[in-house]
Amino acid sequence: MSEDLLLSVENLSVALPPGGDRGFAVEEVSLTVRRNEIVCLVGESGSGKSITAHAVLRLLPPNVAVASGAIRFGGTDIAAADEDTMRGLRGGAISMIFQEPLSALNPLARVGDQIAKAILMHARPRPARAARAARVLELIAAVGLPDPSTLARSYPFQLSGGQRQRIMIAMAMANNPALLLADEPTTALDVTTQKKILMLIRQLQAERGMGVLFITHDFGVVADIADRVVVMRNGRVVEQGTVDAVLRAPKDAYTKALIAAVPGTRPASTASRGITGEPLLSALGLNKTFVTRQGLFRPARRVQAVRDVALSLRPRETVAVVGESGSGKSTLGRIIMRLIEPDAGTVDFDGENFLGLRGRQLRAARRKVQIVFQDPFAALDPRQKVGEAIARGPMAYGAPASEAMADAKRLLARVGLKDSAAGRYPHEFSGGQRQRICIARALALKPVVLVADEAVSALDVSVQAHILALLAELREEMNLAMLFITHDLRVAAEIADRIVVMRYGEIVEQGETQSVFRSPRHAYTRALLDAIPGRRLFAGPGGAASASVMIA
Amino acid sequence: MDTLKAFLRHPTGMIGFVILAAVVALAAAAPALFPDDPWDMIGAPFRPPLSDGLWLGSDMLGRDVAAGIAYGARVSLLIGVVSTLAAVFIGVVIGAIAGYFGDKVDEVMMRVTELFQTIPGFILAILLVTTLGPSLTNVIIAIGSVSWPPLARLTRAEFLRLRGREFVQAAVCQGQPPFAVVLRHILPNAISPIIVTGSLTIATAILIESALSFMGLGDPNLMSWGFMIGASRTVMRQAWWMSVFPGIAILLTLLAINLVGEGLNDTLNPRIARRARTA
Amino acid sequence: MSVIALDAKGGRGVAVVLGIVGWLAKFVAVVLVIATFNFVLVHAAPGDPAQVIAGQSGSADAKLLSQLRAEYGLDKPYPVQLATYLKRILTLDLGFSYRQQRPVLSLLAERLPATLLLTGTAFLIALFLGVVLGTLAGVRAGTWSDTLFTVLSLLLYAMPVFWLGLMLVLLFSVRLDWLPAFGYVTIGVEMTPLQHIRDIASHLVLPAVSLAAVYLAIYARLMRSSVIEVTHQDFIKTARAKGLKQGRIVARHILRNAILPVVTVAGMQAGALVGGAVVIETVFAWPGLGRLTYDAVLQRDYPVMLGIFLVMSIIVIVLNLVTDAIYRLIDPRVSLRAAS
Repeated sequence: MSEDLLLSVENLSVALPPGGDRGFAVEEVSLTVRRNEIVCLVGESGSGKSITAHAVLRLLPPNVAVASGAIRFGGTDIAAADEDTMRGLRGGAISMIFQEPLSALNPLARVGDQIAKAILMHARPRPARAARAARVLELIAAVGLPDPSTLARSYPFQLSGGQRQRIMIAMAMANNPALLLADEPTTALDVTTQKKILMLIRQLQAERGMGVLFITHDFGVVADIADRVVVMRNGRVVEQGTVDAVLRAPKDAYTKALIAAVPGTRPASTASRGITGEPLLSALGLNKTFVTRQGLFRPARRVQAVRDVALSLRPRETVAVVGESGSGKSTLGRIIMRLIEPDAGTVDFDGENFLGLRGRQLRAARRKVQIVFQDPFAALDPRQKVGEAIARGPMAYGAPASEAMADAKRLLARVGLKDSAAGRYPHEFSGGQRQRICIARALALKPVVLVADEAVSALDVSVQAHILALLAELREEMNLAMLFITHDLRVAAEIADRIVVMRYGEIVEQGETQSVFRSPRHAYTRALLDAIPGRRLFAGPGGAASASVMIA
Repeated sequence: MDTLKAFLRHPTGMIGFVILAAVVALAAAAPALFPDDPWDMIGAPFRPPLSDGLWLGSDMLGRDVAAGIAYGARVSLLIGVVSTLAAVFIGVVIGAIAGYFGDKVDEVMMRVTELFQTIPGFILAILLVTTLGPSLTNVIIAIGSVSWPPLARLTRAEFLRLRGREFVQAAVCQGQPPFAVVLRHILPNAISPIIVTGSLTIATAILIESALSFMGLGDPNLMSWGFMIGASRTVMRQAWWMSVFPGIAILLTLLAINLVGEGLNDTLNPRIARRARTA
Repeated sequence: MSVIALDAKGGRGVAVVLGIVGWLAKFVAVVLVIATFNFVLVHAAPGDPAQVIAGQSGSADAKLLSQLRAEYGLDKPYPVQLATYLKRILTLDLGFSYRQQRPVLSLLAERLPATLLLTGTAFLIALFLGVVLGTLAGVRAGTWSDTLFTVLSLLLYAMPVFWLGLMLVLLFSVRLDWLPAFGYVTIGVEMTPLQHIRDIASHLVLPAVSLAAVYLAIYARLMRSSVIEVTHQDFIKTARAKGLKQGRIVARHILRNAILPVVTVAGMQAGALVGGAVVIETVFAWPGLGRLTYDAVLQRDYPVMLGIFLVMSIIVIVLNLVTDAIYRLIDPRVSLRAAS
């Protein structure tokens, strides 16, 4: 680590427009980034980590501005600099990459042109067209993309998420920046892609001796790439230090809680839960192809989402279906819920031919299998009071309204909300609270199977931990079998008895959680395990921790 | 209700509402203010405004322009509202069926809607009125028949969007029958944009009605603003007040409806609208 | 990692051809449907269909009526009649106007250029000015010029097209005498070709502006909100993070992305614009199809009215083709997605 101080944020405060729930997005924040090091800025939503980075390049939204403090880059306070100076820095000495690569690239321009524009902005003297084109191809190759000349002429929508993010990185590297600001660049990517992008960033950082301020919410990522860590909460810095110091001996209670909340650190009760017996739900030969018509003359586009899948679930068992985007795991979940009809296959549920049921019979059987969706904001009707949302289920099966409401209130209390919640509307609750309401709604019908479709993926890490704990409790209380769909193997490790790995619509491996982690058989499973962020510090079941982590 | 209170605080919406209320009041009070038939001659022809006790002057046959405007308000509002109700009914039903069932049903409905949007609506209205005969009912039928496509498109888009939303799927999983899901979850969430578009459709309906009357295709027994402007064409140089005032009446009414529509849009969809306004 | 190898130019070529074929199919379908509708209308009108076709209200020559009945096969069953009618349409036989004593087709062909000139000009004015003004307003959102813009566009939007036309005539012709009030050309004056063009242009100004006004307001407001929406998107932040100047960002990035919904709406509004031409031509005595409609309505000349309906619908389809082409030109996603 060099002694050169690149960026020094000193007592920075960024004010929010009046009338919001707090006055400052960022309050009295101080941090530094030196040459040739990666500093990770960690926090949950609302911590102000993203605003801090945006403030460095003055890319703040219209009504948000720096209220006090200094941002020193190479000695000068750029918080006080004029717009021309800032423009000179943006894309030049300081570059920034963002979270969502699809929306961060101009959809109507070729990616090669977009990179060339970045070069044009800063390179003096202006390079000739041929030199520019050559440099663009150089950059595309440098970020690990094959066939640069074809890629340069592509439009963003023709590329995958990982490819787009590499293009964004190429744009950011165009003018050899000294400082790179990375705002959650891998959060929206699949875990295997995330690993590759993280490796790319580390490689580029090492090659060029850049300072990198990397924003993330995932302590696993911190463990993998950071030299130093800054932890933020509600706009303030709560702790900072070297990655070893913070991870091994965190001083602040919040930091400790965040580290403890990383899924997979709490060993799943490996003691046998006594799962025996005949399968409750048994699916065989499931196939689903999505066909999108493209007008009269073009052949329809066919995507096979689920290919010949067989799945079984025993009473009280939790099976995790793990896969990346496009694996078909969500489609599988929806087929089980009869929200999508498969093209072929059978589902035997509780002795009945589940797929053959129609109309009233289907509705009668529906109560036995319930679902909790991923997005707690979309899963509740904004115009329906929460208590009613829960009570409607039992009422649809003939329960009298008063009884259903009383049960609803009891359930709300059980999931950790007050009685009075029943009379309020969804927008009055936080994401975690809404997810609890959704769980209550699902359980109101006393199902035997609960399908959790990425039920914790959209939640902050600390909230995630609470919801997983709640689900673990409830499944014991109510003798629930669970089908837990997730992209995060760490979450699966924590809650599942068995793991099923899917890829491109097929099951590539399945087995007991311990054995999948200890001795994976398929190459893809191995790749997934390898890509788990922070694996070396956080032990999954059966993985040896290379350093002991103190958990409060 | 919160939305009602929010609307009352919306400045442009309230301005529109006040103007609209004035027009409605004028229409309601027309028989009281102008007891004579607006078609009756009550004075000398071509009297300028503010002469002979005539607020807005008289036309070429000595009819009171102000009376014409007051009675014209009744016609415009009546036709506007009733034909819009018809258009909303047709449009929402078609759009809902298309959006809820999807696939083949949707294809067919959408081709029909597209067809109606390709045809120049005004010309179709002319054809219908000419064929069926110029009467109040036929004018309403004609206007209703050409105003429904945007409502169908909107309803379909809303139904498609909502059908895929998790809270609707959750209701299905809860065991609620399809009809209950539509009535309880889809419709209440789809209704806001339909209300906004519906209110703007009233404006379009009034426009079409006035254009039809201008061309002489309105109900010949009803004094309408469009008719007054049409009648004034040949004598525009001598009697500017015959064309200006009815036009201003139409302008104010349409402006008011548009402002109310904007106000409704802002209060019913606050998040999007706020962003659009303050940038 | 898969790389999508795509010969962009070739792909787009294929897509364009497919687009044209699709458009032709739609064109034929619309013509057939409208023709069928016309047929239904003739029979739905009160009275004897033969009289409706003859177009004379009241007593018509009995011999003429029986001649018409034979010619149109009015005694035969409906499906046969419809087939005959459709065949006539496809051979461009649009009937005969007994009022004007001319084939309908030649009547329409004579009036068509004037209407095309008017609607085309109005469409371009509305689209072009609407986009420019809307962009300026969207970029300056929240300032006093934006408020002024909103007020003006609300006023324009609320004006009946024919009244605006009359008011403009009152102001510019009667009061100021800057522009001619009626007609297409100044008659009785010898002119060189250049003077002739200028003459037509001066006659074109008021009608085209009146017709364009409402749509200008619509497109401008839509452009404004589209610009505001696009400005909030992430890729604009990326552009700023590269160090681009605000002006270039607007011109390069915002404009292209924001104009897409406006083009779509312009296509959907084409029908209303063409319908408005009817009223405008009546007000300004512009010798086009719209004016012809007015006369035909007064005379209850059905063959002419139906013919106009068909031709105006075709104009709308052509306008739709134009907006569709513009859209595909700007947005590569449509054509390339189709071809891949």
